[in-house]
Amino acid sequence: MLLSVKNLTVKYGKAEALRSVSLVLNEGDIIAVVGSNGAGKSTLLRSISGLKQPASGEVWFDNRLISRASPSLIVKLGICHIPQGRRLFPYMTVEENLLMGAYLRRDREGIRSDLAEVYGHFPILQTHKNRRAETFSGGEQQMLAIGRGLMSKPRVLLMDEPSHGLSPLMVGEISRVIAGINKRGISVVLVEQNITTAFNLATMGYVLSTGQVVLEGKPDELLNHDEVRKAYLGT
Amino acid sequence: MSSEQLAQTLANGLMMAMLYMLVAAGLALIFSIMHIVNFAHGELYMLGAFVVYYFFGQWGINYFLALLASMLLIGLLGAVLERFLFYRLQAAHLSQVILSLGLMILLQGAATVAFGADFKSVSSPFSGVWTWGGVTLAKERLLIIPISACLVALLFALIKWTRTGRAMRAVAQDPEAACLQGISPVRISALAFGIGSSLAAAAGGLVVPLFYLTPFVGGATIMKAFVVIALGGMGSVTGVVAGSLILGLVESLVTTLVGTTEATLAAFGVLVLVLLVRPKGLFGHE
Repeated sequence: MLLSVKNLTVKYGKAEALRSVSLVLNEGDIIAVVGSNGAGKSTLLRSISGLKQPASGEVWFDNRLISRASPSLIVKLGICHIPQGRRLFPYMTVEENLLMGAYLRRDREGIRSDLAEVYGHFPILQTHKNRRAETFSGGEQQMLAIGRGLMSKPRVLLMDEPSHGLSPLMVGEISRVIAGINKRGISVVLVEQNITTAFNLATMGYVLSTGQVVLEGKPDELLNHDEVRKAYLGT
Repeated sequence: MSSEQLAQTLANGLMMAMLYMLVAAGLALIFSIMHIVNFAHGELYMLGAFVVYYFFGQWGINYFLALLASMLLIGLLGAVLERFLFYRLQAAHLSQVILSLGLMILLQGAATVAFGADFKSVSSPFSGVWTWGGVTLAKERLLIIPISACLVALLFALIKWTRTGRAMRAVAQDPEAACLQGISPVRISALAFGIGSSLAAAAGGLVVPLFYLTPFVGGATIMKAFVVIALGGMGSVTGVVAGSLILGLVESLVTTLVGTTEATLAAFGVLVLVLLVRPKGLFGHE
């Protein structure tokens, strides 16, 4: 297994945002973490990427304990976190944003060929590579955020609600992009409120509620689960 | 006003503008990345002047080496101040403002104890004049222009085209997203503070042969830098350039035509007028 979270508890002051959460990501898989607003999904990703120190519990990546590592080291090891709301650098150009993703890399040749590859995936980014990121639509910004993430040459992508605020057409497009990234060997932790989109892509699903994993299993089994149907699908 | 007088006035104005630009660019760099309004920036300018006063004026070291030493030492001081004082208060902007005011008084006091409060001066490393088409300009003043212009251009090139410069902009625009790219905001902040401080030191070192030096020269300088930044717009590089040029030239022209007191009045008058018409400054955004 590539990434594993063991009994992770995270606190903001006295409030517990996550309580003893455990999950496993195997190499080449996509796992989906779903749950309503405030369930602790973003907190989970933030503590994997080192933005938030856990109160207790462990995060292991490639047989290495990373729960006390700095965000910078975690990026270097191969985990890239694409945060909620894209969080692009608004006054930088498309190309500058992409180069920021490769900040820790020193292989000029590799950076150049990866840049060409990202442009190959998202031709619209190449067309407007000198435009400032703030001028783009939500879907284009999400593509840029994914592109910036890929520029770090990650082994694991942590994606926080990539479909948020996008049109249904764009949601489908982003799903195809995620599937394509995964085919090239990058494992994905996909956090979503949009449960059907997430479970269509994933090999394993976790349902988070008030900071705890309340259900886990194969996505199609979870989709047929009474509680899931009631809570998320309204049937 | 004769054409010689006009040329002299413009050259003087340009020289002052370049000095304001050095001080204001550093102040703006620190503000835009860390959102710290550093009132002690003028004291870093003062200390930079003292380093050159001792290295060059007292110990006879080459002027350019003294200037470089001043930039390095004060740059290091700035980085240390950021890392060990300002960074610890990063969530509390009001505390940072009070800290910088405290540092201003502390550094003035320390400089008075260490160097004395008397007026000091250094003779210029460049003597002589340039004469061109009937216009006579002192070398010591004229040389400040290309040196400052080079330093400011280097800063802009660093910010615009280098990996470190991009990291600085990234931290300024979204520190957490910068963290997620592997940038260490602690390191970048200390570096930016150091660079800003060394530019202030350069300005101090460049004027030390022209004006009297006391531990209290920082106050007037930082007021001018704030005028420049308010004129140009917070966080705008173009704004710093435009603000400095306007301030330097207006002051110089009014000094020649009317007098020194009126020049200060005119500088602040222009500021009030610009802010009335454009509250964000000439090139401000957000």
